[in-house]
Amino acid sequence: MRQRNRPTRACERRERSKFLVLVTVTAVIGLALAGCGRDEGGTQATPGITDTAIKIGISVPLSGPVSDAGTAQLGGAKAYYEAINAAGGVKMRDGKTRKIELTSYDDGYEPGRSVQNFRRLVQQDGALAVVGGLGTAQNAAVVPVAKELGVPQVFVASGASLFSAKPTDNPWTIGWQPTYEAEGEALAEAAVALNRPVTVAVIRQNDDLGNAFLNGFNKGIEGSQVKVAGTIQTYEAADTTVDSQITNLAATRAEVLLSAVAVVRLQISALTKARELGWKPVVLLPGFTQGFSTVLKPSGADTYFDQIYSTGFVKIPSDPQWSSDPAVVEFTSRMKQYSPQANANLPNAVWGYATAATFVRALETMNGLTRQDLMNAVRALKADDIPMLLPGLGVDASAAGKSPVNATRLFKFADGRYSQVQPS
Amino acid sequence: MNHPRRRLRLAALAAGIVVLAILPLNSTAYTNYQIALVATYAVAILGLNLVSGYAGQISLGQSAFFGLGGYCAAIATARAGWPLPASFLLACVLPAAVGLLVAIPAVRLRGHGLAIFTLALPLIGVALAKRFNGLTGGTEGRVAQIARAPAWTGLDTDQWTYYVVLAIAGALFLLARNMVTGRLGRALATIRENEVVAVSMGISARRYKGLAFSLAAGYGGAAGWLYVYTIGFVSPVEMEFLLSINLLAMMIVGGMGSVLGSLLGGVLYVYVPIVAGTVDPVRTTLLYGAILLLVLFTAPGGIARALRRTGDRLGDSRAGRGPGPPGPGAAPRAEPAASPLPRT
Repeated sequence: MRQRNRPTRACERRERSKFLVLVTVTAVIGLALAGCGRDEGGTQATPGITDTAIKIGISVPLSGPVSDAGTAQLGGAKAYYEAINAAGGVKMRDGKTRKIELTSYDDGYEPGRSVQNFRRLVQQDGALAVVGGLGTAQNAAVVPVAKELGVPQVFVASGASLFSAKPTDNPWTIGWQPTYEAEGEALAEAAVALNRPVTVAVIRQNDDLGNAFLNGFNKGIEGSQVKVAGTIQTYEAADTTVDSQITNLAATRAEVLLSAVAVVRLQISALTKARELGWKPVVLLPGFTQGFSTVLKPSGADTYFDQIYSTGFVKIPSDPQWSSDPAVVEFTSRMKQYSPQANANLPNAVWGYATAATFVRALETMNGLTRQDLMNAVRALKADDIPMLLPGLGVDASAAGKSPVNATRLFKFADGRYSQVQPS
Repeated sequence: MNHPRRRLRLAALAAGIVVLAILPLNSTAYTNYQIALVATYAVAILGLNLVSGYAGQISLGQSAFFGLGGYCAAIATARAGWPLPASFLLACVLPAAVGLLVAIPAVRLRGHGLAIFTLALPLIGVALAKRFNGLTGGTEGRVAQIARAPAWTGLDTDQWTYYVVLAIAGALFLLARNMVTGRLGRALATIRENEVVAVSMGISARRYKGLAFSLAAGYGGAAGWLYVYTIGFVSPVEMEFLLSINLLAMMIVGGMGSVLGSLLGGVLYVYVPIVAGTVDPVRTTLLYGAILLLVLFTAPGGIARALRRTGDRLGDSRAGRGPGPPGPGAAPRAEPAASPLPRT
């Protein structure tokens, strides 16, 4: 600014008056705004609940790499709530019947956005609770915010144990589905059932998820003839292949392979490599990567391995075993009617649906209408008739430190589908 | 760039500051956190702009520095109990130092080579963050509620967070503006346009590129600190490559080589998904992409440049003058925006 054009005096005066007007207007607006004070939202006795409606929220990834799962999760929840609303609503203990209003936001699977969505649902939309959000880091980020605001963050869709583990530290948070530990423990049953001294080769994801699987598995084989073979192989989720890890494991000629690989493309790589090396162990797969059409068929594992086991805790709608099961029939028709855009065959759709059913059960047993009453009802909830859970499985949210659905079942693959292994 | 125009701009700036200062007292906590996030991402984009917009070196590694700054905040403050200013300093200095280290080999590369090289940073960062889970909390991330409003202010935490984040971001913006309008800006612009010319003029291209890299990393780290201060959480997701790409996209749409463009980039990054989500939550990504394309088609130089042009046109017609020669002070700032993509 060393050189300036000299403006005319009139022009300068005009600009100066414009400047003054602008400053005055700003000051007036500012003072007016400051005078308003902010509405703390304290007018309503219980936010999110009226005589006729209950407002709840959910944050799921509707965009990004896991948008399919998020859309299914939301679709399942929506289908259940809509069906309840169509039948009149939720009958609560105060004698009133209320409809459920579900508000959903996309978090793109980013923890920062899930925190923002949680605040938006609570502070802007006035939701009573946030129910059934998807993702571990995404919900872990919300835990302290739920505590700070005193708002229920219930039935989180993640297998990490942290959501249910510490009810005294995190009184407003609870998980829902079985933990990764429980899954590892269920898989151990398959190895133990071989009933002879066997060694297990292990590959796991190099993080807390992989660790949780292995811990559960180790717990399951305690005191049995099953031993984990020397070196445990690990991989990173961003790896392009696990060939060398599988080659190392194949060299041990272990009878069982615990392939705790949580990434579909890497599980394909693992099973393909084992097949190419002519290694034919009993294969144990996590629920993430058990799919017939997504993993077993592309890797040729379906025809090569003699025994493949995995776990599950819900009825798979496409399984012919359940084709005439009333809960499954109802689920399928509700999904078609209320959430046609969601893929009803993804496990997330079933989880979302059953989670919603669990939440409605908690609403029905609330004594009073505050958020604390809701948490009390949640923590006392016991139900063995939640739709879509496998026979024998139920919800028990009263056991401190455990996830509400705290067992999972072993499945064996045969003839193009998984069927439940009957406990002996 | 004449006298009254400058005064008008100052007035607009003052008005903006007054509005921003009063706003959090009336808005919801959600809005306050949202605006704090806008400022946070704007700082990250500003850093990227220094290296990519001004110096013309494409970097895909900004998210790694963002995450590193975030971990500095979470670990130094929430775990080791450092005072906040110390952890902020660490969150600036450590990424800047890493940026400088990276710059030593990186300044020898150009174009695609450099892009690929910087691409490695988030990949390594995510793997490291997961591996050292004792320190970082692994995939579950680390909770760090480090923002607390001091009692004497009488403010709520969200209001306090808002003021702290906006004050720091404002200072960083002012600093960057002063840097790019001065010698550094001219040197970087010369390097971007023609490295040979720059070297023949006595500008050490390597030294300046290294400096730009380091500054960008420092700004990225500072943004990461602000993020943790606002959100109270950090995980490997914050380091992921996708964030780098998004920041780069927002920088281009906001305006390359423009301080204002960085701010607009932050606004877009936070608000476009929200707007798209209100239209159709299932098609957020599609709408998001469509909005970005629309902006790029209608304002190929970025929104900041389009705004400046409109402003020039309006100002000229009102004053009844033709477009005069630009003032000498405007040159380094206006020029970078003239090239929609860096020439490397």
